[in-house]
Amino acid sequence: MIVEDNPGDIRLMKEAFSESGEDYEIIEAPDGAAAIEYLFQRAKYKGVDGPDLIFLDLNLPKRSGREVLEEIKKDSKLKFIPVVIFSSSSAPQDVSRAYELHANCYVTKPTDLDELFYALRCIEAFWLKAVKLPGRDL
Amino acid sequence: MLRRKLMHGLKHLVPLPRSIRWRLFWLLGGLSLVTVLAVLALWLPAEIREIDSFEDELQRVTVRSIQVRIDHFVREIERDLSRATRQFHMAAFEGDQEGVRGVGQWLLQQHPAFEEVGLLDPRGMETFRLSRRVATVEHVLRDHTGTSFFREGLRKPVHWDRVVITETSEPRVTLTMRFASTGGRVPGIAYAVVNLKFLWELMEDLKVSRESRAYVVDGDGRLIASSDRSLVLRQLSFAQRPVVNELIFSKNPLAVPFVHGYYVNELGIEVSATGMWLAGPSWGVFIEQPLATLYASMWRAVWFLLGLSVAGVLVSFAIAHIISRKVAAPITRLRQGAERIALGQLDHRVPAETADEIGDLARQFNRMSEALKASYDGLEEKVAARTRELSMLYTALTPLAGAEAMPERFVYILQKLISVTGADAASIRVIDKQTKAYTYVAHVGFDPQHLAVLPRTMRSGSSDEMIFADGKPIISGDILADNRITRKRQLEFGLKSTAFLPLIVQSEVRGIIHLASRKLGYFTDEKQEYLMMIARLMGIVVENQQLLQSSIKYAEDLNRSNQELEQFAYVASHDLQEPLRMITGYTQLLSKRYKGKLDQSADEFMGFVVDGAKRMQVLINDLLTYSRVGTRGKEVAPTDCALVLDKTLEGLRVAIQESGAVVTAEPLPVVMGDETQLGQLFQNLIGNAIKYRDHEPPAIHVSCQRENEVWRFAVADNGIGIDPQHAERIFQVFQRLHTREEYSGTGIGLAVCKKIVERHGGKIWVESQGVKGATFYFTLPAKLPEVPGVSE
Repeated sequence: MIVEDNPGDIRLMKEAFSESGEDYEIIEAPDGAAAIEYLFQRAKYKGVDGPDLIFLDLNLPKRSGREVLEEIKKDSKLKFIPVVIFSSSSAPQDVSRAYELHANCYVTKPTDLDELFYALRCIEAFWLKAVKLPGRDL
Repeated sequence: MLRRKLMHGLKHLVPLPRSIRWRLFWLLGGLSLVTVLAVLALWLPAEIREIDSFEDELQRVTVRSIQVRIDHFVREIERDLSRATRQFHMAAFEGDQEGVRGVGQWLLQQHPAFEEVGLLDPRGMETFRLSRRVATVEHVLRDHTGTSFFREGLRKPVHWDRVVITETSEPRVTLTMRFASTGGRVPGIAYAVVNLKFLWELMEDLKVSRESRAYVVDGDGRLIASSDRSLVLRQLSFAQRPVVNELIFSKNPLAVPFVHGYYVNELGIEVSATGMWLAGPSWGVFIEQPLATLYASMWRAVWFLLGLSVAGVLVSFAIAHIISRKVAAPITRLRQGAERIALGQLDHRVPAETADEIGDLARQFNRMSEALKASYDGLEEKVAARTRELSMLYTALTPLAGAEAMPERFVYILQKLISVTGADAASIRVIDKQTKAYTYVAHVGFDPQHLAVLPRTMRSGSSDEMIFADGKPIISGDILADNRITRKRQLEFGLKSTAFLPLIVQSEVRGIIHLASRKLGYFTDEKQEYLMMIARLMGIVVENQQLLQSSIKYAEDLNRSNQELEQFAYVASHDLQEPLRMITGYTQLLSKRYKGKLDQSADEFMGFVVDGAKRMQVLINDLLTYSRVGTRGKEVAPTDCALVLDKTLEGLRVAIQESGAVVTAEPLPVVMGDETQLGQLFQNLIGNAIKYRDHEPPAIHVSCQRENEVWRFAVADNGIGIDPQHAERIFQVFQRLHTREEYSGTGIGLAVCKKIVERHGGKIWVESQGVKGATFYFTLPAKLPEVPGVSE
């Protein structure tokens, strides 16, 4: 799941994942509120499957990435889903705040395309392949 | 005018005595001096006249006694010759030669002055002569026809002839007497030569005093007898002497009892002389006395008198001194007492010894000083009370410098004000200038019902309006009777006395301080000054509060605007990243997917887009770094610069190795600083030193020196140097001196350094000749917090 208000970023990420060869189902949420509705299966999202990995931007319309992160980590079921904060900010206080709210990792969006692709490949390899998490059957 | 000048001169000459004592002294002494001088002036001339006339009298008596003696001698001689003449006449008539001789011898025996005796016949022929010196009578009888004594002797019964003086002999005079005439015919004359030596002896006996002399002159003024014989033998004539002249040439010498005068005698001595006429031989008898001798006694008298006067004056001055002291002493004591009281020794008392006016004065004075002491004590108490009030007020107003909320503070102030002034209720109201509406800042002690009816606006014609107009308080001891106060609602709540004081803030009446008391006559105009002082203090308090509030607000505004600015820079650069990333990302994706599928120009264009976007990325990152120095800094803490440098050099290891740089460092101090930022500082400076090198390998030296309150750090290199004209510019954001082809970089490094140093309270500058090498200096405060164990 990618929570990101910039469609350009989503497209680039999708491009990166498409290059990896794996066929992932990518859920897009353009703002924080939509992300929460989806994750808590509210309204039209009743009964949807939870994501295996969440890419969360910090600066989001309606509800910020921090609020979304907070909601996820407060929830007894959702808190096990790994949340990768994927932000353009490299400010230390943004980083530390994210970890305080129990983000699983913080990655600054690389400007260079190759670096971006490389970062996403690493995340994929780690969080979707290497890591063992509760309730996940591979 | 003249008199004033004279007085002025006198004042300069003799400073007028200021104290009563000296005035008294001079008055008494001067009085006695004037008395003595007056007595002298009146008495001395009289005394001198007295002495003068006394001396005159003495001379007269003396001359008279001489005259008497000479007269006695003359009469004796005349008597003897007269007796002898009768005998001669008889014997001669009888032709008894022996009888004549016997008479002659008798006469010579009668008086030693007789030297010679003789008889002349009417023709002038000598008929008989007997001389003491020539014992015999057998001698040649002389013819005396031509002599003056024969001629005169014939005419006059008794004739004293001219005195004969020769240089060798003693003076002689011939005395003639006629025989009694018979039948109208003179039968003859008898003559006798008288030696005047006798007169001399008389003169010597009759010396009046040592200096005075007597002398006798004949009718021509020739000296015939004197106490000094030599004078006579010199055949002197005294006719030129005025007194002699006066006597012998007066028409009738016998009518003149005495002559008196002054002349300079043959010895050159000024003398006073008195003379008398001697009737028989027509001689003048004189006595002369030197004036010096004469006046000596007079001067003695004068000196005696003067001495006596001086002594008298001295004695009177002494008495004046004693009296003035005695009289002035109590006055002086009074004055000293007054001085001591003036100096504050109110317990001082003046001794009142006497029962006179001065004693009364001293007693009055003591009573006065007691009264003064009493009133002063009262005053002291009043001052002490006022001081207490003021210090209470001060204590009340002092805590107002803090930043508590205003209303609570003013309630507290009013409570203090009530306790200080003794009022029962107090309020402060501030006016809104437009609406004339009152806002009550605080009130204390008012009845709740009274609160409800306190004025809400300033009505025209009210007492408040007067206060706002002229800034003067309205203080009323009796509200009921005071027609200045039109609204008397206070009376309904038992408040009888009130004070409305202007609350003056920045020279403008902004409100009213209202004090009220239940006691009638409590607030009076006497308290006006005190109350106004309170009002002024309150005004200052309000003013201070306003200033404080506005300065706090200003500081907050400034801080907020700074923060907003930095926040803006941060957010702006942050948000700019997003579209940039889109540009670079998709351009790269394009070139990745479509490289070679389009023409060569398209590949180049995409290259420029990517390059531009990347550079913009760097610029934005640098800007972000720059703004973070202010917004994201950590708290300062004691930091060891040597450790910071070590870490920095570790971070720069690759660059150092590649460039072959040699970095040396002197011992560095511990300073108060943000470790991260100090690291950034060293990294930028050393990084620059490595980057801007010429063909030589860089040699970088880091040193530090204490300069008073600061540490001065220096980072010196041997690089390309900086033209001094750019020394300021290089510390500004994005200022570059070189093209990207020469040296890469955005020009943010030194701007960040400057911001870091300034955030730490220091300065940064560069010194360079512009050709070879540059030294960057920066200072950091040397002061460490005084917490033991932190800096060590």
